[in-house]
Order: sequence, then structure tokens, then C-alpha cells
Amino acid sequence: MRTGLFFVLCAFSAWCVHAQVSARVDTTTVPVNTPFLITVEVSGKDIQDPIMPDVDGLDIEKQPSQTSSRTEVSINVSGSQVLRIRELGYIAKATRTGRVQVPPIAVKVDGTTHSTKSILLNVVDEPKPKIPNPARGRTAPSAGVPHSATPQPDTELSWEDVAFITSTIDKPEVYQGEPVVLRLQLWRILLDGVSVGSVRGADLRYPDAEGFYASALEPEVRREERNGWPYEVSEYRQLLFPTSTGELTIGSWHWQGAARAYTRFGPQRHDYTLETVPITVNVLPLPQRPPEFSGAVGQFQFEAKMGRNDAVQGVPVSLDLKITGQGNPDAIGDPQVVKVDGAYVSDPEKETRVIGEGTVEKVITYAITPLEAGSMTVPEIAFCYFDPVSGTYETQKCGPFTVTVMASAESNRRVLVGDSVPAPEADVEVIGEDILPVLTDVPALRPHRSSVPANIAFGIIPVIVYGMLALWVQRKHRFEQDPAYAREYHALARGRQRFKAIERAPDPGEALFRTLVDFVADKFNVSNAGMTSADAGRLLESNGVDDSLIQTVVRILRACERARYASGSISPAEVRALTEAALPAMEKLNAFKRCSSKGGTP
Amino acid sequence: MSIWLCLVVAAATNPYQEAFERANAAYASRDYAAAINGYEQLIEESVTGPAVFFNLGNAYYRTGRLGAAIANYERALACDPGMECARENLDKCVLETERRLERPLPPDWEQSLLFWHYNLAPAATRMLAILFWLLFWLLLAIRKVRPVRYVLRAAFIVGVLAVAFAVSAWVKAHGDVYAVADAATVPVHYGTSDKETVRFELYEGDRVLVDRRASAWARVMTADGERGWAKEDALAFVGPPYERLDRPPADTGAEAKETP
Repeated sequence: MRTGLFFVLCAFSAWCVHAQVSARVDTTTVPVNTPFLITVEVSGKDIQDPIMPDVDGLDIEKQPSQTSSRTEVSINVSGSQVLRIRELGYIAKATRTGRVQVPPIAVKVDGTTHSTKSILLNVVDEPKPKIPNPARGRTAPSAGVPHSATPQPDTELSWEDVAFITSTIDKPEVYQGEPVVLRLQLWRILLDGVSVGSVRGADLRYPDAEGFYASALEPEVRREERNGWPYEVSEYRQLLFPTSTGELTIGSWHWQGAARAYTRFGPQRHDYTLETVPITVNVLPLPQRPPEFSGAVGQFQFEAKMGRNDAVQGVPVSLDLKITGQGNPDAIGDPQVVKVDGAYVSDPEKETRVIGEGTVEKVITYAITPLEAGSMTVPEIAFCYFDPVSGTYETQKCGPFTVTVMASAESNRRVLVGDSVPAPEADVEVIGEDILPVLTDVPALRPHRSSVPANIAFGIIPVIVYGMLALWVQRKHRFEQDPAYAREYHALARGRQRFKAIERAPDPGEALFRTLVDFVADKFNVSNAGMTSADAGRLLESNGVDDSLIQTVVRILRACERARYASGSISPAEVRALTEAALPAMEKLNAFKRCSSKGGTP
Repeated sequence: MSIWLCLVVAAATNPYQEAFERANAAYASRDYAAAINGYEQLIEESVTGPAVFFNLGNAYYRTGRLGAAIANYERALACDPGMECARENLDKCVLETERRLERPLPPDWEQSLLFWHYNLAPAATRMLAILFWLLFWLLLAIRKVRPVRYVLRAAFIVGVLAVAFAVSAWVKAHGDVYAVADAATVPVHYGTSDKETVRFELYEGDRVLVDRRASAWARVMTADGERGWAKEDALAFVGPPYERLDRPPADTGAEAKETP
């Protein structure tokens, strides 16, 4: 009996340390399309990964997203045993509502396949987004997370939700001149750890609005909520007044900025280059315009006020016309020109200013100077504008005004300006006289010719003259500083000059000899003192002169030397023959030297 | 002697002088249309002296064409800024205009840099530019031949003066275009079409600056900065070039009012 009881206890304890497999979820009621975790816990010695089943209405990842393991030692009557316990978490997402059953999950432990119990899930609709409380901090945006159709505060944000821009107008169809409010909004999320800013230096640029007269309004910054998220909205507004009819387009608005966020992956940055869609406005033409239409389109109030009800003759009284309303201030024309009998009306002084949100005020002030004592009546003044709300022309009238004019205590003679008085009266002196007469005595008239050629000539000629002068000065300096150059340059001219005088010389042979020797010495910049025909020949040879030319020169010089040392004079015929031979030889030598100086082949 | 005689005879039979005197005679006999025609023909033949413009301005004034008269006085003053009689008549005509608008000012850069050139005639600035240009090169040449102290500095100063006068001459010849309203009222629109909204109106004699011209329309700017498009035929352009102004005066004001 005792032995039997022992075996039973052993068997029980052995069962107690037997492999165990279980599966669980945090809650059995899960929202559709919302990830939740299925945890499988397995204990045993040799544990393999569970095989996740395919379930209709449920997407379960095949690989665990979380794993953990621990080791336990079990001691019982049969001895001690070491057990390994693993927990594996699988992300699952229900794809439909209703009841969904997770079937038993098979796990192979210690060579034996074990199964968990099935789990019944109740899948419900997605919950409504909760309004996040920025004060408590929100989940930071995470890059790469797709933007769901209905953002949930409990889930993560996309970068597109962090900052975006919109461009809207208040009316898609307006009359010509009727104001259209263009709103450009920059939405930036207000969350702890998220900051959004414009690119440094990128000023606000309103979109192109060709065909509109634009007037900017004060920008606004406010807080708004959108899809459950808190935003700071910077709104820039423009009043646009279409100046032509038809379909006019307001271009895209561009914004560049960047957002920084501290996410679970650390600090992240996202750059934005956003643009809005262009907006088309249909502009209707104004209906048939009445003659008194001032050009103003909008809604206006017209007031007229006399400065005083009584006045003194000759002392001006002011008449203020005030137009207040919403419309293009530049298009507000003046009311009908005031004409007052018996008074001089000055040119109006105008002042236009913006007094509120798109509200302008134009004040036109006339100074009316009564010329006669008695009663002065300023007639009714009308202001006609087009009201786009009613689609009709409205005319507002003020007056007439009556002013009592007292006689002036001064003299009846008074000085007035301009043509305020129709005809000069006896007691009024009007400044002004006839224009000066035509000119008859004028200098001789002649057609005015184009001065362009002369201007060009005067512009270019001094430059050319200066250039020539500069070249001349440069050469002069070279002559002064470079005697070799000067000798060589002038050698031929000097030689020719001396040749002309050879025949008249007392000793033509000597003169010819000296001329030729001097020429050679000048050309090659050597001293001519004591130079003989042999010296000249060697000099020419050393400078690479052609042999035939050397022989010619040497022959002429020797002929001269013979006559010189043989005490016989050369006959005129010989002199002529030698001169005729010497001159071409000099020119050839000159050409040779010039070519050799330039580096060419003689 | 014979050359001198020829010159005297040629001067005595100067056809332009004769035409000018004929126009003056027509003016004296109050035949202003003939006088205008005579002066305009002289201008067409490039006889563009300030006296011709002045007399033409007077003739237009007599016929009631205030805008054309002002345009011609402006032309005369452009040719000779010191012509006091033209300035006086111009001032009188401006006093007779509806708004007595000032002449629009030149651009700021011109007022700052060329503040000194407004009293100089274009011919004078051109001559001075040429003179200083020649002098500049002469000084450079002197320095080249014989370096003298301060010649380079003098050449630099003279060169700067030459450039300044050349810029002045260029601005006077190709600078801003001015025009004068030559109809009782000239509507100024937002765009180049009669259908565009009228932004404001010019009265006869109002002087404007023309900064753009496109298909018979001119974009004008008044002295107080108002800007818009007006029809060219309702404006008398000061020039150059000098267009004939003896066309029938435009009545654009009435047309504009009738146009829906």
C-alpha cells in the first residue's frame, strides 16, 4: 500500500513538471484594425517556436515580435528538474467585427506536440478618436507610419498631420471690383516634443494674383482643433479686387519649413515643401453703369458735413465728404464735383486710410469761399456705387446745405485766385494776364541733324591720336635708350643720303668706302674705326650673310682700298659702277638684317 | 569776298526762316490754324528750336488746346531750360488746368546724381561732354610726352566730368517720356481696353510720365503716383520724337462715359 502510494506521488510529481503550453490575450474584446498581442507561454526543456494558424478575420504575424525566457528548478520527490519557460508575443489585428476564434496553437516541446486552448475574441468597431490633452503630452510622430484615414490620438501621427497649408477664398464668383478675401492658413500641431518652423529667411510671399488689385490684411494666429488634434493656425489674408472680368486665377501658395520631433527612435526631422492648388475666381462684369457711377464697388456709407453754418464773406468754409465702407480704395471716385453759385470752390484734398478689417475711409475736403454776403447754398451731393450684395447701383445723397454769409468788414476790393469768378466785376480784381507773345527775332533756323556720327567721331578720334602718339613716344624712347637699334634703324637712310653726295666728293672712292663701311658698322653695331674690307667680310660672314653678298661688298670695298692706297684716283665711270653695285648690296644687307632680327630666314 | 556774299545770300534766303516768318505772320493775323500748320511743318522738317516750340505753344493756346500748348512749352524748356518766356507761359497754362498737377518728378537716382543738369540744355551737355573728353585725352597725351606733376589727377577729374556730362546728355536724349492730357478729360483705365474699369481721370493739361506704351495705349503716372492706362491719341507726347499735335482733339472722356 505504501509502495503504491509512493508511485502515485512520483507519477503526480512527474506530471507536475510535464511540459505546459498556454495562450492568452490582454483583453478578449478588441477593436477592428487595431493591433493587439497574443502571448504564448511554453515551458519545457526543448521548446520550438509555435506554429501560428491562419484564421479567418484575423491577421497574425508569423514571427514573434517579443520573446522572453526564464529558467525554473523544480524539486519533488522524484528529484530535481530544470525547466525552461518561454513567452512569445505575436502581433495580431482583427480584420472584421464579430466573434473570431483563435484556434489551438501547436507547439513542439521535448519532441511532443502540445496545443494551447482556443481563445474566443469579440471584435468591435473602432473607437471614436479621443481629444488628446497636450498638457499631458502626446505620442510623438513617427516617421514611416502610414497616415490612417481617421487619425486616432492613441496611435501615431504622420508628418502630413504635423504641418500643412490651405488656401481658400470666401466667394468663387464676384463682380468686377468686388472684394474677395483670400485666406492662407498654415496649420502647425501643438504637441510636446514637436516643433514646426518656417525655413529661415523664407518670407511670406502671397500667391500670384494677376488681374487683381491686392491689399493685405493683418495676419492672425489662433488655436484650432482638427480631427481631434490641437493646432496653431497662422492665417494670412489678402483682399483681392478683380480689375478685369472672366475667369481669373489665384496661383499656388508655397511654404517651406521643417518639423522636429522626439520619437521613440530618437530626435527626427522632416522638411516640408508644400504648395496649394490654384484657385479660380469667376468675375462677372458690372451691369450697365449709370453716368454718375463713381467706380466704387462694395458697400459704402456716404456722409457730407459743412464745417460751419455761418461764414464771413471771403473766409473759406470746409465741406467734408466722407465715404466709408468695404471696397477697393483706389477705385472710389470722387462724388459729383461741387459747384456753388457765388463762391469759389478749391480743389479737393483727399485722404484715404484703412480703418478696420478691409474697411476704408476716404475723406474729400473742399474749401468753399463765399464771394457774396447773404445765403450760400451748397447743392445736393450724390455718391453712386455698385453694391455686389444686391447687384444694383446705389446712390446716396447728402445736402443741400445752406450757409449764412455775413458781409466782410474789409474793403470791397478782394483778390481771388484763378477762374472762380465767371466775369470780372468792378469790385473784384482777378490776377492773370495774357501769355507772352510769340518770338520773332530768333537766330537762323536750320534743321537739327543727328549728332550721332559726330559724337562717334569725337569719341574715337582722340583715342586713335593718343594711340599713335603713344607709339611715337615709345619709339623715341627706344632710340634714346638703345643706340644699337637707332644705328641699325637709321643706317640705310643715312647711307642713301651719303650716296647722293659721293659723286660730288673730292675723293669719291674714299667717300664710297666710308659710306659702305659705316653702313655695315651701323647695321651690326660695331665700331667703324679702322675697318677694312677684310674686317667687313669677316663681320658679315660671322653674322651668316650670304656668300655672294659678302663677296660683292668686299669687292667694292677692295676696289675703293686699291684706289686709296695705290695713289690713283677712281674714274667717274668706276665710281658710278661701284655706287650702282653698292646701293643694292646695302638694301640686301638691310633686308637680311631685318629678316634675321625677326627670326626669319634671310 | 564772293564766298562771303554767297553765305549772306544763302542766309537771306533761308527757307526755314521764311517759313517761320510766314507762320508768325499768320499768328499775328489771328489765323492760328495756319500758324500751327506752319510751325508743325517746320518741326516735321527737324527744325526743332525752342522758339518754334514756344510759338507753336502760343498758337495752340489761342485755339484753346491747353494740353498741346503745355506740351510745346515743355518741349521748348527741354531744348532750353533757361527760356524764361516759355516757363512763364507754361505756368500760366498750368494755372488754367483743372487740377494744376505738378510735373511728375524724374526717378530718384536721376534727381540724386544729376541734380545739376536740369538747367543745362541738351546741346550744352553734349558739347561739354565732348570738350571734357578731348581735354581728357589731351592731358593724357601731355603726360605721355612730358610727365608733369598733377597732370594725371587733372586727367582723372576731367575724365569724370566727361562721363558725367555724357550721362547727362544721354539721359536728356533718352530719358523719361512725358505726355500731356490733350482732351477735356482722359479716362485712365486699369488695363489696355475701354472695357476695363476707369481708375481715375486726367484733365486737359495734366502732365504725366509715360513708362510703357503698348498697342495705342500708354501707361501713365501722375505726380501723386496714380498709375493706369490711357489712350495715346488723347495724350500729347513731349518727345523727342516730336509728333504732330494738330489733329482734332480727342473726346475720350465722353466716350468713356458712354461705354458701359
